[in-house]
Amino acid sequence: MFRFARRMLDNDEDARDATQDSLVKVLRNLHRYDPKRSFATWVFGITRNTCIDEFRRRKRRAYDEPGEIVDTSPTPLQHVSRTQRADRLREALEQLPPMYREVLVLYHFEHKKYSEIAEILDVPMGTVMNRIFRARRKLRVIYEARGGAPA
Amino acid sequence: MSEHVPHDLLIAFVEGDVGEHVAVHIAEHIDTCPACATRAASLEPLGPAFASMDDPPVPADLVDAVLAEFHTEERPPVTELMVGGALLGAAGILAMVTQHPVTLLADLGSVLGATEAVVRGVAAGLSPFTFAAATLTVVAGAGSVATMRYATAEGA
Repeated sequence: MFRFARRMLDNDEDARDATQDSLVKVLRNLHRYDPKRSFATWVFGITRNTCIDEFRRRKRRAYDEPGEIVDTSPTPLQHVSRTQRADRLREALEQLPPMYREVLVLYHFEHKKYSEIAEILDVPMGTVMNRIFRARRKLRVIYEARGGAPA
Repeated sequence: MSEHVPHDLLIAFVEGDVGEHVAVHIAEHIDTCPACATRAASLEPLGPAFASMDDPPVPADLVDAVLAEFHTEERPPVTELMVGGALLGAAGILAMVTQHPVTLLADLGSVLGATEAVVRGVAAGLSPFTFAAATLTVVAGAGSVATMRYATAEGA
């Protein structure tokens, strides 16, 4: 939960608060859990909603509104270290609107299946696929603009 | 889709160059086919970048903070306990007064009900005093059942 929240929000403190709030919501609402559903999926759904609430509370950026693209001049390096690549990707992810960031985080970092993502987001599979395709395209554009070679 | 996704189609899928219907079809297959999932991941241009990102460290005191917050929340009322205790007492008195075998069943049922109420109450966070009172009520109810049994046996 913390990992997901940390990647959705931009700093440790917000991620910690969101995780804490989510866990308390889980404990409070255990009686509402439907055993037919996956418990992990249910918990991720609660965490995801808490992160969206946090975005709205901060009013920094709407859920589906693009963030401000920060133009940092790319450094033409022959070799990009693992750390540099990770930093660039992290920064690129932070530029993505939350609606796109969450599908990438769930798939590529939390290793959720597409069907599980659909359940967590409570949307049809087609919507998940559309979002993930757009998210990957946007991420590549931002990543490459920051000097990261895609491969 | 029972067979593996053809290479060209998988590339188009990773690039997002397939229609929604086909995308859903392939995604459903990938969800159940580790081989195709691995192949798709290897075709993802940002795959190495994704792999380079370590998991963020989880704060060591996070769980303690959550439990502390949860415990400070208002405890739920112990209505069930009170109802269980009242039923138990009423049934116990009825059993003692009438000494009729039919009431034995009702008394036993109320003992079980009260026991459940105590367990639920404890899970919800009873104070030691309330817990002691509830336990005494259940013990008294059980005692009345035993007395009833003895009286019934004596009567028979």
